[in-house]
Amino acid sequence: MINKIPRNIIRFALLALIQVFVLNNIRLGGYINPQFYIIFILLLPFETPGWVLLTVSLLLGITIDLFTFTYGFHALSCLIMAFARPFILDIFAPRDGYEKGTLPRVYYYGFNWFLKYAVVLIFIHHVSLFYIEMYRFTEFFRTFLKVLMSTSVSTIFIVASQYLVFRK
Amino acid sequence: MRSLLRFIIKHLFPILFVVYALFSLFLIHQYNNYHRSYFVNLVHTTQGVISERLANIDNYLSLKQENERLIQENLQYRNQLKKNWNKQDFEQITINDTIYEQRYKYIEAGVINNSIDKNHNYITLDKGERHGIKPDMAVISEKGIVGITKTTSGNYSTVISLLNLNFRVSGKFKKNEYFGPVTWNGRNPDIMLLNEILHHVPVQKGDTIVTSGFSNIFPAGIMIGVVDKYEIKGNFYKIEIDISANLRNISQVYVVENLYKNEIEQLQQESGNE
Repeated sequence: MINKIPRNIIRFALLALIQVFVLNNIRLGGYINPQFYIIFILLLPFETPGWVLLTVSLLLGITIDLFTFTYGFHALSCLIMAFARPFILDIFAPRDGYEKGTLPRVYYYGFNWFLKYAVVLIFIHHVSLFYIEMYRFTEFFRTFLKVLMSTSVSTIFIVASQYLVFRK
Repeated sequence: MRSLLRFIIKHLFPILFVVYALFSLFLIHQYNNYHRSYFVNLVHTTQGVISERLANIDNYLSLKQENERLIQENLQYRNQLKKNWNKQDFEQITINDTIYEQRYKYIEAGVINNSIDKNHNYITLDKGERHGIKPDMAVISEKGIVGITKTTSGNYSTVISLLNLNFRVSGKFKKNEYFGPVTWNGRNPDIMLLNEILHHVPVQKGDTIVTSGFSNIFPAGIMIGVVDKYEIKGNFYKIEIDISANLRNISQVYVVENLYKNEIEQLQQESGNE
């Protein structure tokens, strides 16, 4: 547990830096901006207490907000995603629950489980983010298309990282 | 009291969520004031330093295009040199400095951060208060308008880009002076909209739209773009303008200071004519 906290702090900082200085400058087709930093919330250990989960997600969102001039957008969407996480984990739980000492990664629970878990949470995050940004429903379908495209690209990034970076 | 505490501890997760969500909503709604706080300024300065390093690399890689652009610009100025023009009319009045007083001052600045894919796009410049940049000054490039400065720190400043849902400028037809607000709709980074033009005004594809100078920020007659498409909707036209400044690859801009701005605003306030 002592080992986990500094490791997560370093991961927090690295992911925020990568998001702000590298990924925010990538524009696929002019619209898609991969949101990779939310992998931090996905990879928190199963036994993370609820208040830690919410607080850390809020801080992560605010950090990204400060650098992208979008006060509160990322904060609120990360918060909604963190709030949904325990329920999503419950829904996709294996028959005998999550084993102690394991982490929510491909290595422990397989590709199918991780993909389902990641897609649902990333989708929740992106829906919140894009609709908070629009702040109205008049362009519902155009925004929804943006959500779908960005969700798929973010998912590809996050699942690929399971094989390249977060292997174990 | 104790039962209230027990209730909070038991339902900590949802209660905390609601509290944090209210906090985030507060941030979103304070959007326009929050950035003034000291902390954000500090973050922007730090980010400015890092972005500048990255922009340096980027600038180096685009040196060739940049040189070509400068040659073109030089050419343009060379053509305007007095010695290249023949004096045709000898009965002109001599212009004296007591008649002409400088009204607009230009400051050159480099772009170190820019975005075009959001609904609220901002540009960061490498000049700030120390170089004379203040909030609410016009930003233009040699091709046309770019934005309005928003906040400044010592060495950096941020600019509300044309491509921002909060951006608004008064534009007019160069040919017949009909004017209306120009805004962006958040869709295409090459297109802006000219609104409130009545349907009897003659409009053609290719008409030039320039700034009207009514806003006290932009000088009159700066290029905005040319009419790309138009259709009549009710009493008004819906006019799409092809932006002439290409915000996808902008690296040098000029910040314009209106030296009479305070005087004009004061006068308008006194007469209650906002």
